[in-house]
Order: sequence, then C-alpha cells, then structure tokens
Amino acid sequence: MTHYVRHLDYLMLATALSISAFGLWIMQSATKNYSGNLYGHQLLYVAAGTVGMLVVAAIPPVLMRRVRWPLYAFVLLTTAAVLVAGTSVGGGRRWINLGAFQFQPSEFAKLLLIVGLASVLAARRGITGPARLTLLAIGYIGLPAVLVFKEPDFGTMLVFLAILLGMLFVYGIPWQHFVWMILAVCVLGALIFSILPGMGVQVVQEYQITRLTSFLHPNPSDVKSGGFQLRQSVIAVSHGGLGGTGGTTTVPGQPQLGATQTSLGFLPEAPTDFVFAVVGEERGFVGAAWLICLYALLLWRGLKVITKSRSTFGSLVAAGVVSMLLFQIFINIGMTIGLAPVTGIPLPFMSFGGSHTITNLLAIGVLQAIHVHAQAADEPVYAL
Amino acid sequence: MYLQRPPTRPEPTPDPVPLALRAATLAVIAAALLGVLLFRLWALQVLHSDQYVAAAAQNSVRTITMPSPRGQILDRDGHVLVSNTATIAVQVDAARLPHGTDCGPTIATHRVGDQRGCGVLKRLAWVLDVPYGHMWHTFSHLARANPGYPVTLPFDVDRRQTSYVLERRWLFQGVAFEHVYQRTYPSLREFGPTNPNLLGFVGAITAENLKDRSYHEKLPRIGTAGQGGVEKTYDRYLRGQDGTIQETVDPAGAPVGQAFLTQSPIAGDNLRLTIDARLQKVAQYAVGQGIAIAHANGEPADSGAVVAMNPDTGAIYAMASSPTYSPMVHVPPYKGSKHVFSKKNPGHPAYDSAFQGTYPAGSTFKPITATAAYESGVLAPGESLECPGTYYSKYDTAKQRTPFHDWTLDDMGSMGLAKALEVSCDTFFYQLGDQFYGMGGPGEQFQGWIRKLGYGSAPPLDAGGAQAGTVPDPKWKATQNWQGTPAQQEIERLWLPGDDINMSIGQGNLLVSPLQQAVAYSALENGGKVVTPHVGQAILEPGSTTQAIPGGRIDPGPVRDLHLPQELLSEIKQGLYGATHAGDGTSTATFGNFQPTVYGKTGTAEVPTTDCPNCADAWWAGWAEQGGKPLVVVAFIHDGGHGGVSAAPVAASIFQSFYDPRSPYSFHAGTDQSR
Repeated sequence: MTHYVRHLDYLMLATALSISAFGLWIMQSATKNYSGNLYGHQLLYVAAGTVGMLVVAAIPPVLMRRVRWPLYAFVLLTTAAVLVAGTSVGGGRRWINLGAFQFQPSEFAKLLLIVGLASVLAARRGITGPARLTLLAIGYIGLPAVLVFKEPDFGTMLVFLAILLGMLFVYGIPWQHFVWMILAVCVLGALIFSILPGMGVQVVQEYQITRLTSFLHPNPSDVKSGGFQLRQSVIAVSHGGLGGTGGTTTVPGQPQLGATQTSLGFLPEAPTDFVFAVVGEERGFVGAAWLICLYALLLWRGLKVITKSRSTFGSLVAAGVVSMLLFQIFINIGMTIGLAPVTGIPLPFMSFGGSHTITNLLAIGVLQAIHVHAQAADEPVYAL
Repeated sequence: MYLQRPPTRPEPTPDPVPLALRAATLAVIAAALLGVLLFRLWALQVLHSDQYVAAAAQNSVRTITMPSPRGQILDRDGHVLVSNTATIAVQVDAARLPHGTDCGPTIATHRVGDQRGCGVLKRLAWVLDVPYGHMWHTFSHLARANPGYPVTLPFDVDRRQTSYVLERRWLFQGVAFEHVYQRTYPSLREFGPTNPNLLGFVGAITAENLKDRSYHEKLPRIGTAGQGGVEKTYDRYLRGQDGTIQETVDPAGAPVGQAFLTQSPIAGDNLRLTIDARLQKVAQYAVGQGIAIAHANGEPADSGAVVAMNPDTGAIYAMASSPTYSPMVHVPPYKGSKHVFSKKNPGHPAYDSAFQGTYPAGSTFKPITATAAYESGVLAPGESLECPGTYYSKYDTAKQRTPFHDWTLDDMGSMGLAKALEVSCDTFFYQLGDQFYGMGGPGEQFQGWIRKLGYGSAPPLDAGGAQAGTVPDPKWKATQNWQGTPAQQEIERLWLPGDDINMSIGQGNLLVSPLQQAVAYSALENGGKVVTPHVGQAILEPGSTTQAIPGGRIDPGPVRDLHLPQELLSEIKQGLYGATHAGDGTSTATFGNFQPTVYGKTGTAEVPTTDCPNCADAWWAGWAEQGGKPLVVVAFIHDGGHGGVSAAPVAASIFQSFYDPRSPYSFHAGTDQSR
C-alpha cells in the first residue's frame, strides 16, 4: 500500500482530474439547451471513473497480462452484441441497454484492446518473426475494428487504427511494415469509398461520407449536413476571440449577449462532439490554449511512462494510451476548428458521455499501475 | 529499429535507447499536432475573429424590417396627390412551403389533405378569393424575380382573411402577413388622375432595379421602390429609411425572449411638384375635348397630349396625355390593370403621348426652321421670299422635277418671315430647306440648330422615359433599314433635296414629342435658353408641405443658352401674333379676341397611312404672357386633323384656366385650312 501511494504519478493524476473538472465546468453551460440533468450525470461518470482509476492503478500489470484472451473475447462478444441487440442513436447502433444505463462497448474496447495487444506483443517478443507478429497485431485489432465499423462507428475504428500504429511504432516493427500498411489502407479506402459503391455494394452510409468530406468543401446552407455543423462550430470558436465571451449574459433592453452560439443552440452537439467549440466561445483563445496545454502535460506524463517502464508490456500499454488520447484530442479539436473531418470522436475527459469518460479515466488508471510497477520487468508468460 | 534479440526466457528488458528514441518521436508528433491546433485557434480566434463575430450575430439575431412611410407627393399648391395607407399584405416564403412548389397552375382544389406547396397556394387562393391560376402565375413570377426571398403577393387582404389563415397555421405553412404601406391617391376624386405616367408607381424591387443606376443608391434586396415617373427619379428621397426590430432567435427561428426596436423607421421626404393639379385637370379634360372636336369633324383621333410649361424655368404646370387611366391600377387589387396595360388597348394609355410619343411636327416646326436659317445665314434679317403655289428644288436634276406644293395652289407673292408664319406658307420654308441642302457638307447646319433647340435627344425630364424622336440627316438615312426592293432601298438611303425641304415644314422623317416642342418654343419665348423641363419643385421635410430640406429646391438651369438675336425673335413673335390674330391667321378663330395676347402656330402634320390616307396630326404651339407669368402651351391631337380646328381650343382652355381660372372655357372648333 505504501508502495502504491508513494509511486503514483500525481502530476498525471492532477492533470487528468483538472481536465475533467474543466469539462464539468463547461458542461454546465453546454447542456443549457438539453433536457435532463446531463451535468449531474457527467459528474457521476467522472466520480465513478476516478474511483475506477484509483482501483485499477492498484492492480499489478502482471495480472492484466494474464487475462488478455478473456479480455479479447469480452471485446468481441460485446461489440458483436451491439450489432445484434444494440440501441441506435442518431444513425449509429453503438449502445447496449443495461436497464438503468446504456453502455458503449466500443469505448471500453479501446482500453481493453490496448492491454490485450500489449500483452500479446510482449509475450510473442522474440518468439514470432517480425512479419508474422505485425500480421498478428493487425488481425488482433482488425477483427473488432471491422465489427465497430459495421455499427457503423467510423470514428472509433479510426481510434483503433491509431492505437495499433502507435503501439507497433513503439514496439519497433521494421519501417517497411508501415509502408505496407499505408498501401493496404489506401487500397482498402479505394475499395470502400469508390470501387465497391461503384459495383453497387454500399459499405459506408451516405451521411458518413458527406460528414467525412464536408470539411473539405463545406455546404453551410444544408442544416443537416456536416458542413453546417462545421460552420456553426467555427463561428462559435471564433466568436470567443482572445478572452472568450464568458457565459451567457442578458442585459435588459438588448438582444441576448455572450456565448450566443452555444446558449441559443446554434452550435450542434454542444455537450458531446463539439464541446471544444463551447470552450472556444466562452473561454476564448486563452481558455482553449490552456486546455491544450493540460492535454500536452497529460501526454507528456504518458510518454514518460513509456520510457520509465522496464517491461515491454508497460511501454506498449503506455504507447497505446498516449496514441489513443492524442488521436482523439487532435481529431476532435481539429474537427471543431475545421482541420479534420466531422467524425463522432469525443474529446477525452471533456465530452459528455459515461462510457468514454470512464474508459479514459480507467486508461489513466492503467498508466498509473504501470507507473507504480515500473521497476518490474516482464515476467515470463508463455505464448498460447 | 527492430530489436533483433535472440529469444531468451525470461525476456530481457527492452533496450532503453531505441525505445526512448521512439518515445521521443511520438512526443515530437504529439507536440506538432497540438501546435497545429494552437496555430489554427490563434488564427480563428485572434486574427480573424471579427468576421466570425458578425456571422455569430447574424446567426442568433433576426432583424425584422419595419417599413417606413413613403414621402407624399404634392402639387405646387400643396394638394396631396400621392400618399400612403397602412395595410396588411400576404407574404409567401417559397423556402418554407412544404415539399416544393413545382406543381404548376392546375385546376384549383383546396383539399385540406393536400399538404404540398401548391396545396398551400390553392387554399390561400381560395381564402383570398383569387383564381388559383392567377395566384400561381403571380407567385412564380415574383419568386423568380427575387429568388430566395419571401414574396409579397399583390392581393387585397382583410382582417377576416388574416385571422382565418392564422387560426389554421398548419395548413398555411410558409404564409405570413406583414404590415406594409400602400400608395393612395387622395385627390383622385377632386382632380382626377394626375398623369400616372408622370407620377410613376411603387412596386416590388426587381432584379433589374438592383442593377439600375438611376436610383443613385443601393436598393435593399427586398422591399418596394418607385418604378418609373417621379416615384423612381426621387425614390431616394421619398423612400425614407426602414426601421428594424431585432430579436434573438434559436436555430428553428423561434424568438427567444423580447424583441427590441433597434432603429425607428424614418419617414421619407415629401416631394412638391411644379404640377398644378387644377390646371392638370383642365388639361386632361381639354385633350379629351380636342379629341371630341376632331371626332365631330370626322377625324379618327385616338389620343392627344398637352404640355403647359413655364418657358423661363422649364417648370411643367400641366402635362396631360389622353386617354389616361386611374393610378389605382398600380395598387392592390390592381383593378383594371389588365385592360390598361393590354397591348390590344387602342389608346395605349401607359404610353404617354406628351413625352414618350414622337410625331411629325408639321407647321409648328416652321419657327424652328426659321431660327436655323437665320443663325446659319440662309435667311437674312428682314429678307423677303416668294411664296409660289409650287416649288421645285434648285438641286433637282431629274428631267421631271418633283413638285413641292404649298397647302394652297395660289401664289401669295413675296413676303417676309412674319407673314410666312402668319399664313403658314410652305414654299417660303421649302426654299430655306433647299438652301440648307445646297450647303450640304458635314456641317449640316440645319440639323445642328434643330438639335441645339432640344430635338433629336431625350429631354432631361425628371420623370424619366422621355423619348428622343428623330432628326434625320444623311448618316441616319443611310443606316436605316428601308422597305422595298433593293433598288428602292438604295434610293431611300440617299439624302435628297426633298429631305431638307420636307423637314423645313416639320414633315418627312422628323419626329418630335410635344415636350420637345414646348422646350423649343420656350427658347423662342425666353431669348434662346433651352430649358430643362422638370416636374419636381422641391424636396420637403418629412410631413411638411412647405419646408424644403437643405438643398432640396429643384431648380435645374437651362441645358444651354443659344442667345438668339432679338430681331429674329421679334420677327417670329410678330408672325405668331399674326397667326393668332390676323384675318388670314390659322388660329385667329380661337385666339383673335383672347385675353391675354396669345402667340402661336398651328400645325397639321400629314401622316397618311393605308387605313387613313387623309389623316393628319393636329398641333398647336405657342405662348402667352401676363403679369410676369409666361406660359408655353403645346397641344397635340393624334389624327386630329387641322391644328387650328382641334388643337388650338385645347391650348386656349389652358391659357384661360391659367390666367383667368374663374371663367370656364367653352369649347368650340376653330377654323383652319392650312397645314
């Protein structure tokens, strides 16, 4: 216990909790136009996630490595179950209804796959040849990725791929393998978006393609298109200026002032996908830059864990978590300010949502566990 | 970078150096990506924030226009000719109609179940009691004229109909009602229509209007503007400034909280005209009487015009065209507009005979010829010329020379200019025209002087739309598309002595408008100033009938001053006096005993057509002066026969009403055999 308390990365812990608190603060105004106590829910998620994080931090990484195949089976089962019995929200069938709350398996799958892949790679190290190992890793992530893609949840699939690439990079596969993977992605992309639709097989829904491509040629007049969301989001962010508009203020005898884009509902999906636009409008460049700095701090602590860990497993898990967070942060903020396609990727610790908030906090917990046991070397685990 | 380690168990720890290097690479990637985000945020929020702040304001604040009342138009005595009335108009927003509107002008049904756009229009047509086909055509026409904007339909709406629609909003998606101002014509009952072509009207702004520079300002994309007449010319003063109401709305367009009046509407300036509504009424009646006299004489007269103008300033006191129409055709429900603007309407009332119609001038042109001849040295001061019954051109080299006849075959002997005008001797002026032909060359002194007097170019009338007419010259003739065989066309393109000879008595290809005539006669009266004819007198403060805005006096100076010699003017004046007073004068029957003294010339311009071989346009042009109040009058009856018969009484009644309004003029035909 003393070892645990002494070796936690408190800076990382504080940063994660700061961002979560920042998120809760923003959530108060972002949820203004939404019925139900979203703020209360989010508070509950953060609390549950924090407890979970502290609990997970106490689990020795060795234990995590041992359950890699049960974990993998759980991921495949839940993601497949979504396809069969999931509830759909806004065009995507992503949730499993568990009575009191809904749960999004693909969010938890991110963390579970990181742990699973890390232990597989660590176990196979030096046993399996590099090419076969790469193919194994691709297959390991690829199967759940296809399931998630079928939901359809294109964004999460991309997160899976980012995790795969980040972990393989840190693992140190030959660089030629990356070239092959890029080529494969190009061929696959051509198949999905151009060749198969041309043959009459619609792999991707129309709305997904428009959402993906609208940031390249926005069509702001179509209220339902991603271009409209993008335009409103960019307007909201810019409306903030340097110092932000602050919360909404109402001066008698004047039209409403302050964060009008957010408070009047012009900003779509304000609490979830476009929460960063709320930060941008209400807190301005100062607030947005502060948030990005917090993220940078968090990522730095994660990168520290990669080098600090004496086990391959620990380094790979840290690499996976860092890649996951970095990709989600960049794509979500980039989408908000018109640099990246509109995909439903939430902003870690900020966006409203139970599954991903808890997952991200648990991911920090896993990093903490590795940090706590950084001195432990890889114990022999025999490959299956 | 692949760690080529032999597989040993337990696994060795990874080599720290390459791992640290890879972690560092990941750190660099992370830093670069976050840096990109920060740069973009800086650009959006700090560098280009302004343009997005405006977009944000537009996003959440809806601006509703509050129409301002348009300025009134008054006559010179303060009678309100044009005013406003607040009313409700029905507005249809094509973008908000359910399921598009491409269903065409089919038979009207207004089934409640029909939720398509045309269903809404059909129900609306039924409520407003308008034929659906008419509703459809009006709507689609207006929607095309200003795409993307709500269309204000020109149909009368009353409170009962609005409440019917508003109680059933779900059946009338896209239909709204707005408060608008409509033009009214308060003195219509007292003075009759005050030349609607001159006043113009107010209508929805069209795509053409937006490109039209004559408004002198940027028109709003939506709203109304003066369309033609002084309503258009002085639109920027009359229109005022619309007020705005701003309210915060949510993305669905529903208002959030209170609305605020951010700018009060500013009423437009009033416009006072030089028009005398009472004299205008007399003029309108007089033209009608002139046409009636012509009809009584068996002439097929169908239209006519009269212009009464101050020769010193160009201020128009009255300008009537007959037939005319009620200005109410421009105001919803547009009663009678179909008939008025129909191409089949024989009188073409929307085509103003006074300033838009151009006709051969006939003998009223003779003083102009005289002026040109005098100024070009063709006619010496006091010079006498023969007045034979027939004249042959000196330049006609053909074996059988073309005879040019006087209106009488008698040889009236030698006479000066005054006498020639008095008896309207054609051959006197033929000789002048023939000499102009002889001068030839590029100088074209004849046409030059005619143009200097205001013919051949559109008079700068502030009501707009004045026509230029034609002053033919060799170049003009050579470039026209003449009818007939190629050989005939070849001859027609040549400039012949007959062209100058015919033009000398206002015939041939010369075309002039009554307004141009009034300008030219004003120059003869005032010593050579070619005035700017105008109907606007002053821009007045909103609501005022007397107080002009700073710089609001409309006092356009003359276009040019020809400084015509006094001996010429007195000779002409003497001739015009003879024409109205001497025993052989052409309008002596009308003006012989008239008070005050009237100086004027009749004209009988032959316009033979196959339908009417003996038809002639009747003209009278001249002036009078009493008590420092000069007045030029030009009267014109199309196909009215002799000028002294039908046109002179029209002018006389104007003079009578102008100088002695108490005693009414009794119309009777004049006597005139000249042309």
